[in-house]
Amino acid sequence: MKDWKKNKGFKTPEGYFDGLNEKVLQRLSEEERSVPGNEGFSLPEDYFKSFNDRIKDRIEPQETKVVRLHPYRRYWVAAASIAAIFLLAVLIPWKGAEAPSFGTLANADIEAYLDAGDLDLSTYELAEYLAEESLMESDLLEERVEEENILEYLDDTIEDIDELNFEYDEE
Amino acid sequence: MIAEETLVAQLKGKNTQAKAFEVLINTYKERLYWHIRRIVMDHDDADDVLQNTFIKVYGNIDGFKGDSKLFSWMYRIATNESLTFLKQKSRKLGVDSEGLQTHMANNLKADVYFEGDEIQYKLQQAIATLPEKQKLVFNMKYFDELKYEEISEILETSVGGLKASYHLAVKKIESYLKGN
Repeated sequence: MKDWKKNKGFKTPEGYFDGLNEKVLQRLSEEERSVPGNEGFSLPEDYFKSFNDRIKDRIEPQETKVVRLHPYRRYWVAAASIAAIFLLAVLIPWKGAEAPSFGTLANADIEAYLDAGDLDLSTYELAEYLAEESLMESDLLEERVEEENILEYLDDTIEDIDELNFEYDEE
Repeated sequence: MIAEETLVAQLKGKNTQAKAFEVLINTYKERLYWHIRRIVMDHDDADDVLQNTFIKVYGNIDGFKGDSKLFSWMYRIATNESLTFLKQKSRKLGVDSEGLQTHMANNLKADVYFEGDEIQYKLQQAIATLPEKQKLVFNMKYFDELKYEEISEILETSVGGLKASYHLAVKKIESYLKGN
């Protein structure tokens, strides 16, 4: 085994190397945690103890016997329904129902639908539907891209941060 | 601890389902609760989302094909449920997602279930300034102490991208704490 202790003039306190690993690891974890580690959140006492029962109640709803109050009611409800259908058939003027189209949709409804995030399309897929003529060249030239957006973009797309070779201005 | 494959098989079997589900809840409820709590911040909201998460897991266990770990799959459901919850909440309050984050962080002092000191309060405010993805990655790496590979499986993002996100998040939090 290689003798690292070539310089005979120096010496170390007894047991120095025995405790070194722990000390280094301790320092490393302290440095990594330069922001506070505890969050301060608390929760009601016995919250987790009662959690299982609450979940079970939601999954297995208690089955209760249904007692019909007025069993004869369904006959006259059925009779009234038939009469109502007959009346509607006579009174409503019959026209071919119009098929819904984009023209009949209010712009506000379309915007609300898009805002609600119910459209599962990526930016590229949306761009395919935009006519090129509707985009002005100046849109791209005059649009200022915020640094935050650039970082977000890099954050989402790059595979390996080291490839960028970017440096932070260390204080 | 019961092997994951066995637990999944029991969860899918009609006769063993109830017992296995109890094991599943007992194993993961605390980990998932704290993961959710860090995203939604409020205890009652975290409770709602945690219940919804387990109910989704219960209802969709037949669709779990085992491509990822059960734990990652549940974490993904919990994350999606939390983010959906926050979207609904911001819509109800009529604020955007940034506004909601600030609102939630500012409300912490009045929260009976927040016992943090000034620096912990500041830390939550700093985390609230992060974009959604950086916030998720920071919480999962720093507080949940998950490995990048595990986070990558949960968020379905590359490890390189996650490292970049975490790096940026730590820098932003440090500069926020220094400046405030």
